[in-house]
Amino acid sequence: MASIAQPQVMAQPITKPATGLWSWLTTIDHKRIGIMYGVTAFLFLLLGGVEALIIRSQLARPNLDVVSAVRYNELFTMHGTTMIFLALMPMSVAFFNYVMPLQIGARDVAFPRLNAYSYWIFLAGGIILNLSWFFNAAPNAGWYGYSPLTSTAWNPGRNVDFWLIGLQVLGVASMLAAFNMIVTVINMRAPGMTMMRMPIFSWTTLIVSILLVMAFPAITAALILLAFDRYAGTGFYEYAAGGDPLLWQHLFWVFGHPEVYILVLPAFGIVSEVIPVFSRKPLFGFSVMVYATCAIAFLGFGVWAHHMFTVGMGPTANAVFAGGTMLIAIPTGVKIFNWLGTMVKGSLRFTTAMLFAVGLVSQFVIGGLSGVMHASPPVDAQQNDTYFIIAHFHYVLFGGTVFGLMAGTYYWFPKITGRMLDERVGKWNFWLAFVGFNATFFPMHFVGLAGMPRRYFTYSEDSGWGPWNLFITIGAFVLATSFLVFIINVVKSLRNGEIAPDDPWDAATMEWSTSSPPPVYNFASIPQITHRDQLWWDKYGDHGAGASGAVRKAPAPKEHVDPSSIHMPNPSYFPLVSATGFLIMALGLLLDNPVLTIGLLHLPILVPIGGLIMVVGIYAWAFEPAG
Amino acid sequence: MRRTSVRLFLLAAVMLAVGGAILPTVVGAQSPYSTISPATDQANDINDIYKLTFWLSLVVFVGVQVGILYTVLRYRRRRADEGRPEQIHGNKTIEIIWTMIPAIILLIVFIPTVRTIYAHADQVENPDLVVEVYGKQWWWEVHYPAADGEMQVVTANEIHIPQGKRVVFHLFTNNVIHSFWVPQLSGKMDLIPGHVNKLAIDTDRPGYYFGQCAEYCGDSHALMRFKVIVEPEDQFQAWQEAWRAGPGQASGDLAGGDIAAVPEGMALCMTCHEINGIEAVAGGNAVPDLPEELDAARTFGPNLTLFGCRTTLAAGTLRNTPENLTSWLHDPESIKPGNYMGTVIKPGVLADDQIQEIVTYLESLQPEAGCGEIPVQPGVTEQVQVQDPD
Repeated sequence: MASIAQPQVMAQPITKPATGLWSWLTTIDHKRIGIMYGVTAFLFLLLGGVEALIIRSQLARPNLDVVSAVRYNELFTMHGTTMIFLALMPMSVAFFNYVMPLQIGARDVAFPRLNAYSYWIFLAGGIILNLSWFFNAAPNAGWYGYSPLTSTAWNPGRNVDFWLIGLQVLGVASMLAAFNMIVTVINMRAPGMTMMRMPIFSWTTLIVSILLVMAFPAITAALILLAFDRYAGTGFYEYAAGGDPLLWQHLFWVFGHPEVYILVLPAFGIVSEVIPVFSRKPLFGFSVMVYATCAIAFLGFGVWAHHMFTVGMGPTANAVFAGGTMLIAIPTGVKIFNWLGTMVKGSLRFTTAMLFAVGLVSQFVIGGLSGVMHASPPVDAQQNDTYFIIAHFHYVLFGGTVFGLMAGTYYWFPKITGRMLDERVGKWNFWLAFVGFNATFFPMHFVGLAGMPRRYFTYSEDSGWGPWNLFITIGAFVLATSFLVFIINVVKSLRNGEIAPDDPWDAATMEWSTSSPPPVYNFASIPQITHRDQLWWDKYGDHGAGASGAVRKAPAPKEHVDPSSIHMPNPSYFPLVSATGFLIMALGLLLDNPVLTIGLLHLPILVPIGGLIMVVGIYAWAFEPAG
Repeated sequence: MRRTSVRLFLLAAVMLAVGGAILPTVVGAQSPYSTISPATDQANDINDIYKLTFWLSLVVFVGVQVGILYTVLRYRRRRADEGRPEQIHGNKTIEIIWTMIPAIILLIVFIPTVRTIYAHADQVENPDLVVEVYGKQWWWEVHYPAADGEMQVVTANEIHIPQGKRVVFHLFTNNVIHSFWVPQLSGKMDLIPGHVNKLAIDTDRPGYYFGQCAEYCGDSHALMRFKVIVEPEDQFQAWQEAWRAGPGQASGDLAGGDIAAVPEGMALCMTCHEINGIEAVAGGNAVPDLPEELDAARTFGPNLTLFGCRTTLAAGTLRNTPENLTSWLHDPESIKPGNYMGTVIKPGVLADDQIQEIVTYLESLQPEAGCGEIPVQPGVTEQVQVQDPD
């Protein structure tokens, strides 16, 4: 920070934001909702991490009995479900929420109260899934819930019910958030911000939201059919009843594969912001990066069956899906090379954010390459459902997504909190994560090649998998310490971290033009956009080729605007009320409660009660004055 | 500074290449389940594509990592007041080149991939021998073809097949999805209710090949192991003959020496299990009312004919010894969580002396000529997988 001279620290906004618990429960400010998403998702990430550590403890040696087989199967199911739906996705949504409106020069998202509603419903879904532990009925059929293992015949407990209702609720939250983001990006950009002037992270927000809107209906439909099978005795997935278990697999992966891109593209968007800033060069091939993101998203819908190469689809289907899968490597490779191209001839500064971003570029390559290996169905027939796959997708989802999200956290933390994260502790955080991550997941390639299948609660001494598994378990604990270091850094920095200036990184996008943290209304006056990387333009003038050594321009004088003249919507508790109704309704399907029988209709009493609260909440919010 | 960077990056390149090339190969092969120690043409075809993708990946991996390292070292900001570098927005030629390179690499992988897919698909239509495999929770039932009037050979968890033949496995399940996987023989193939999947292998060297279930199938998914025993043709025929003949004269330590004199405690066993040549068991324990959740798909246990020749118990969970069989009959649930035998056989259901009789009886179920040795050849593992109970 000392290395870059700062013009001045903006004065705090005149209107102080409201404080206290009530202000958070009723907030509809996209920044606060972003923070709530981030903090909640991080807590779930820790929970999923603890689950992973228990899993690793069980596998440290052959034939251990740290947990029972039944518990182990619940743990890996919940580890996957938690990390995907409760940690990584909402963490991305946290950044969408916080950063995107600031980047596009908006005062809030298009539907602020709907935004709060999305968050509360997400929280409800997380509560439902994890409540299952207290009923000794944690989901136990894998995060992918293959039929018929989810049928009442083979899984009579409530485990699967918690899972399917929980996911269904989370799906509502995701859809609402995604629509909100799409409308915001399309309609709320500052004047002059054409699509190709829009920052790459906001582009990513748009594309990922479109993916969400298109992918989630598939799993929603799949879960509805499953609910019918379980609650009403239909047989959509039951062969003997004329159904087919493969129907589930197709529907699930039509959602499940785009989901991978839903998880990783936001991280790509983040590093596409971070790398240019710390290279002091614009993103190499901006438009190609946008097209590559679109291409990945589009192709992502045509490759779902590569998760099913061993189900016996026949040679033609396998060959076609293999080809499609390999195609995705092309736009992905373009991204890697363009990040590299951004750094080449740059002036690279290795802040923690930059370390995590470069870490993503380096580590994601490994996940990409192993992905190309099992894009070939014959190879996949050996690697599918082994630890090789676990290694592969953790290189994508940890080396990719988590590294990207960490880069984003270190990058935007000053903007969000008004304080810098400690860079020295940050370096410890990065290197512990880097070493721990590779120690944990790289050897999984070896045990995978040595034939160790996934979802095994134990293995025999003679399998030869013991030594590397011990190594992996040690690696997992090293990786866990990196998160401890991160928590220490956040706590320490929040209390007495260096005060963050408005633009600590000499960044290029509009969120850095307002104060840190931004006022409730984001910008005193909505910025006029004339160029991509507007803030660099404002500071340096034309930054095209040959502008090397351009002199920093004095910041334009801030226009004084009376904040009370800015119209912002009022806080509202109705999103919380309605979401609580939603939660009660969902719990009515899961917990023992009196059943109301009206003719053929058997209605657990909590369902109509919760439904009523939900509807009243929405009704009241519809007629509440917006402010 | 510059020279140090170059040295560092050269060193890193060499380390990455050597480490990347050696480690997975050496480490991955150290297991009876190794996916890169092929023992059939099919596994070999797969391994060839794997090796191709591996070497191509290694080249790209080293190239990109070295590129990153070089860039990071070369273009590090050295002074805080360093000016802004030249603002480069892109370069069409370079971008087109690095779009084409991955496309070409992928084509190199795609062509042999498609060839192998179709070749393997054709092979399942031309079998020398078809073996039907039924996935159960959590064991494998194996059916052999029978000519008219001939008795069908049915066994469990140890699949005998003849050497030098194309054996096609037809895969069935009436419960959940499983996946049939013997890494040294071929890739895995799923067992899916309502579908019949087929997997062909051309057997070569005789020996024991280790298999396991590869699709999560409930509580004891991890304890659903099996073995494929490739043996010379005449030995395979002899094994089938012996199976059809039923158990030989019991060994000396069996009470009365009469194989038909089934111990009383076996009445309970025979509710779910079958032994070729033994029709029924008189008297003994009354068959209890089975728990409600045990329907037809669950009440069928492994066929116990020639049980004395099996190398393992409970689908590869324990070595087949009288001690282990005793523990198993005492409390199956503690050894294999969730298994259906454990819903009936709980500690105390069988008295200790009954268990001893049953153990002696089952271990004596061998052909008159003995179990025979499989001529194991070099490179084929002889280990028996075990998990000894505490």
